[in-house]
Amino acid sequence: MSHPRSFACDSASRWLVDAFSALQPKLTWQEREIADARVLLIEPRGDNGARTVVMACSTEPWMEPITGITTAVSISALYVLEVATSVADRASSIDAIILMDRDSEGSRAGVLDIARRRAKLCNGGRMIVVAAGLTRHGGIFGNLENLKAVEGFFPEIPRFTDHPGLDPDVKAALQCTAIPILVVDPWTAEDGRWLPVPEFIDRFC
Amino acid sequence: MPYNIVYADEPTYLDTAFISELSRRGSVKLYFDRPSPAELRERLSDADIAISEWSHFTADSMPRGGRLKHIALLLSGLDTVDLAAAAAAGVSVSNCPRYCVDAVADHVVACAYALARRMPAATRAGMAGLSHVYTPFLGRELRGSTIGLIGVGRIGQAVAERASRIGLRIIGCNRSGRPAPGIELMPIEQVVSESDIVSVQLPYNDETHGILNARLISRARSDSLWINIGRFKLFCEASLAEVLREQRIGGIALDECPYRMLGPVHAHGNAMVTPGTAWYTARSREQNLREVLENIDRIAAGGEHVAS
Repeated sequence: MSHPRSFACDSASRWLVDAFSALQPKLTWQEREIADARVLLIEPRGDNGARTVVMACSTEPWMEPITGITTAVSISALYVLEVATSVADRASSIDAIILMDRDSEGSRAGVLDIARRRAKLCNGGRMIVVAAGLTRHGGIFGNLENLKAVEGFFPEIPRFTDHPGLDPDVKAALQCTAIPILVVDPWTAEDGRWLPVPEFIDRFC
Repeated sequence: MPYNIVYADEPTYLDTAFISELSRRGSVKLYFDRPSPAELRERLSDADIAISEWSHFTADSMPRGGRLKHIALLLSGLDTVDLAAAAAAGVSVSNCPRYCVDAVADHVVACAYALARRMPAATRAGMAGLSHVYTPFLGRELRGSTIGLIGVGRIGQAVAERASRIGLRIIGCNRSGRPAPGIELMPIEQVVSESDIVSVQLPYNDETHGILNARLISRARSDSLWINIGRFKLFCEASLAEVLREQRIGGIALDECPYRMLGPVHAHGNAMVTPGTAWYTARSREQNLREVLENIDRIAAGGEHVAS
């Protein structure tokens, strides 16, 4: 998952900002610079118990050889946009959505710090990392069977422990957040089926 | 056979299910901007199939002997492609004529109601704080009026279906002379002169460029309401500007309007301009992507030019 290179181009960045802008005033968003990354912090209209921070990389060049898809806006970010679009019309437990365009040590630390602070303000706050295609890279939370197993632990989501699909530096960073983290790959099945957004929200948000 | 599929320009809407479906048909490259002609040519250089929403395809973009086999437009029209050049280069082209028929027909009816009730001016007044001001906003009811459909294809017929439920008399014209169910066909001049509401849903091409000219509009009733959900260039611009400034029609709704025409449009009190959104509903945008996939599959199955 970790990759020092980003091929985010301005147009892709703008496209993503425009897409979230179109969801206003149902949700608000702001753009920040954190270390060497541009970060979008999106705040849906959470319900009273909003406690989930959803995070994804808005560029994922490392996924290209796995998915066969070359895109300047990551598939994970497009999925998160669908999630945001869906929760824009209803209350959910999502407190914030964070998209960062460059996954580096500095940006990751900054973003996880934001997530940690926000989640800690909530009772039982937690973080969901969306990583579309991670399963094919070896991640363990991707297939639906594993998701069910994880779901069985609700509301005590286990701390992030071991994800073969993640690089060691990412694992280390996630383990330092001191909040429950679930890594979800919505692009799971061999036949290319996606975890439908309403199902994602019902299960995790 | 796996294809190299290039989504060549800025998507208005994309969903992950669509991308996933594309990836089952080959490798996929997505772009999020509107390329210059040179950039477009570069993007198409290793593509078998190009999906496009904004770009203009000329002979230069489609070199003979290139790899490109098909251009799948997300649009209902075909005016962004030089079809002769495409044919010469062995490139087939498909459009999406079905995905937004209901949405656009709904939009036409919404515009008809809005203009008939002078909603543009009444809304401005209400939003400015006026209350219980009646005289400038005297409306009329649609039942019993005549709607004239210039173009009685899929969208025209969908408008007719809605119009019949409202209790309108429905007249219309087409070039083919083919009968259209529920629509009384007559020459275009007669359609314009007999209509309380004129709804234009024509494709834009060399034949229809400027078809709504001074001679034709001069036949319109002074209180007629005009709705055009197609390209602005169906109008003769100078003629329309004069008609609007002189208030020679009762109202107009445009879904595309060049900036320089906004002055005359504003000058007419009962006017609406939407930014090309007649088609834009959640259902339409999803159906749009499904229609593109169907077109690509038809090409993969050995189909030829599927534009219609």
